[in-house]
Amino acid sequence: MNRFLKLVNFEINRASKLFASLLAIVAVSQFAGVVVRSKSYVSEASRVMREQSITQAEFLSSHGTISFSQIITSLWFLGPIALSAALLILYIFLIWYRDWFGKNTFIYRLLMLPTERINIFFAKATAIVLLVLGLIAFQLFLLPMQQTILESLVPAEFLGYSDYHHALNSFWFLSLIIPHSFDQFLLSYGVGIMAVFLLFTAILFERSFRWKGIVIGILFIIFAGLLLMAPFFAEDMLYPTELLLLEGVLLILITALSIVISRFLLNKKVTV
Amino acid sequence: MKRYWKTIVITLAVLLGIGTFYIRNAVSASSLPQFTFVKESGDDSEIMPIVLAGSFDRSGHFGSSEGLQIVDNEIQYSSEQSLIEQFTEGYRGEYGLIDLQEKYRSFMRGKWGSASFYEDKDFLLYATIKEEGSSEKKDFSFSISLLDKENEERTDIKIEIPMKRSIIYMGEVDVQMVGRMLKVVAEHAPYTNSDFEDKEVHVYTIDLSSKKIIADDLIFYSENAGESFINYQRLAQNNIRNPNKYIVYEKYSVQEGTDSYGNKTMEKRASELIAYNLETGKQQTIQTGRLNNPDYSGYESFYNDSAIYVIERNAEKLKIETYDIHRKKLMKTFEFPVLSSKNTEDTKVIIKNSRIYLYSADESYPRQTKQPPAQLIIADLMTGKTVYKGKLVAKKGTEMEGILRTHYMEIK
Repeated sequence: MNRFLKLVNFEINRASKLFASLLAIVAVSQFAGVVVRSKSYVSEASRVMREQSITQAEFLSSHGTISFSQIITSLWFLGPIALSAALLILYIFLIWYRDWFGKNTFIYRLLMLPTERINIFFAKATAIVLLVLGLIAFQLFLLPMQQTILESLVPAEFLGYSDYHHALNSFWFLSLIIPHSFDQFLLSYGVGIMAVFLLFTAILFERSFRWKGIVIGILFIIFAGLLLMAPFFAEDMLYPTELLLLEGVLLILITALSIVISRFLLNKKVTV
Repeated sequence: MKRYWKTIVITLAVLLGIGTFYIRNAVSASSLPQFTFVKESGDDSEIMPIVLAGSFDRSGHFGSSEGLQIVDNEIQYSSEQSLIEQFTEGYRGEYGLIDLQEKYRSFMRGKWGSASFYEDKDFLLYATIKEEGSSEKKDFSFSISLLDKENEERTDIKIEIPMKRSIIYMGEVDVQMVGRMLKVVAEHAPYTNSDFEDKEVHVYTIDLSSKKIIADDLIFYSENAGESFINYQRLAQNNIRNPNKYIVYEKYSVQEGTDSYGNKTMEKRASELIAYNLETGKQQTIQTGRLNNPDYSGYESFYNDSAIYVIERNAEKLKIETYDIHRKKLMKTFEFPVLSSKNTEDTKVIIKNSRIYLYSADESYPRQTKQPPAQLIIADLMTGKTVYKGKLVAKKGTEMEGILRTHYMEIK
């Protein structure tokens, strides 16, 4: 256990620069976005009302209020989130391949450690999950502050929904990464963790059998995907709770299978 | 310990940040308006079977509206529902089948569509038309399941439907039992070369003991002569799975013309109601002047057992005429006030269990004035007495300016 924690810490430290810069980019871009969008809306409102000499009510009926969901769906917000998502997906591969192709073949030392090799696998997965959830937690710290800034910059009459919960619900991608209810959160990240494990297994296939391994890895992921979708082909015959339960069981089964295969590959097949 | 600080900080932030977010989501009240029916007169229990689905748009707010449902006089916004609630509640929008699913879980598996069921005190029956083959050549068959309630014995039957001509679509609209004979009312869309959509209404008689189709009666078919059309529209049936001796269609004729701009127009000329007796195969025409109103549509009216409820609505009121098919005469006429609105569709009406459920609202948008609260009237159609009258208003402290729209009503 201690070995495992050391390995996790080791991976987190290695990723800390990337992580810190992502936090900085998210914070700077999103705060800038709130300020720029609110200010430009307010100045647009006063300009239009002055130039066309219309009342506040007339402006509101033609232009509408400004809401937090308009800000949250702007590039200022989604840009850094998409960047973080893309880099973390890339990092799923990097976290393994840097050990092979880094300055010194670090994987050699890792595999020689006096611990179960599967711990390396779990440590890397835990690190990825911690980084992802860390970003989500950071976003959750920022959101109430951003809501307060919006409310202080825009007069109440011009303000639509400023509640950030509502804003999160109004865009599918955001409600996928920060769902409203905890069971949806479990589903989102359950599927996410399974996907990380599947990619790890595919990477280990490649590291074990090289070109052939890539094909096996891709086939393995397709197989897992089809298995997960299978209940939907019989959707007519299943009651909704059964469908949900079956999917949960499949999710756990596929993840377990992925771990078993990875353990075998790490212990017997992987080459340095 | 010092070496581990980054991992510890991230772990704590994750637990604290995500933990508080979900704990607060679970305990804090919704920030959206909480609409409930508030009684003005009558009995509160009357509103319990009502299911409303719609959305709320905050005024001046551009963006997605909030989807909502009102069940048991409790509002639930879909964005605030848990995954399990979203998955199970009103799945496929068929509340009408939930009681059957709970009672006959295994029989009901894989069976959908209220119109395909028939239930009396002895039997639960399901019949549907299955389609096989390509679009060029389709084969149709009946898939029938019968449940004997007493001994829970189940029979499944499949019967091929012989086809005389090519058909694009065929679907059951009602399933009934007359003695030991199964009657399936099906609408066909035969293959035609013209762009006029043909419709045929067939009644199939199936002998359940010999598992054979013993009759296929073509009862109504659309006609097209030059620029005039005759078509048929089935009236809504309020308890579609209950035993019913009749099926009722509105027969209407439409004249095609051109308006001053050269666009094609369809003008409704005349219509009448035809009740088809499933026991005797006889047809009976019910004439009512009201039906010739060009705005009238058969969708609006209901029938049940031996009564036909002809509904006519205008901006301020809704008028119902009750016809008795046996006695061949107009029995009663009732009038109910509705909230005035530019769109008559803002009024939703369902007749079920000899009650009329009348929901009227003004959902026009954009609007200069505040939206008035929607009005609900439930009345007993035997006596004409209003058993509930109330308004749909947001609870104190949750009011918000905006438009509430309903697009669906169902009575459980």
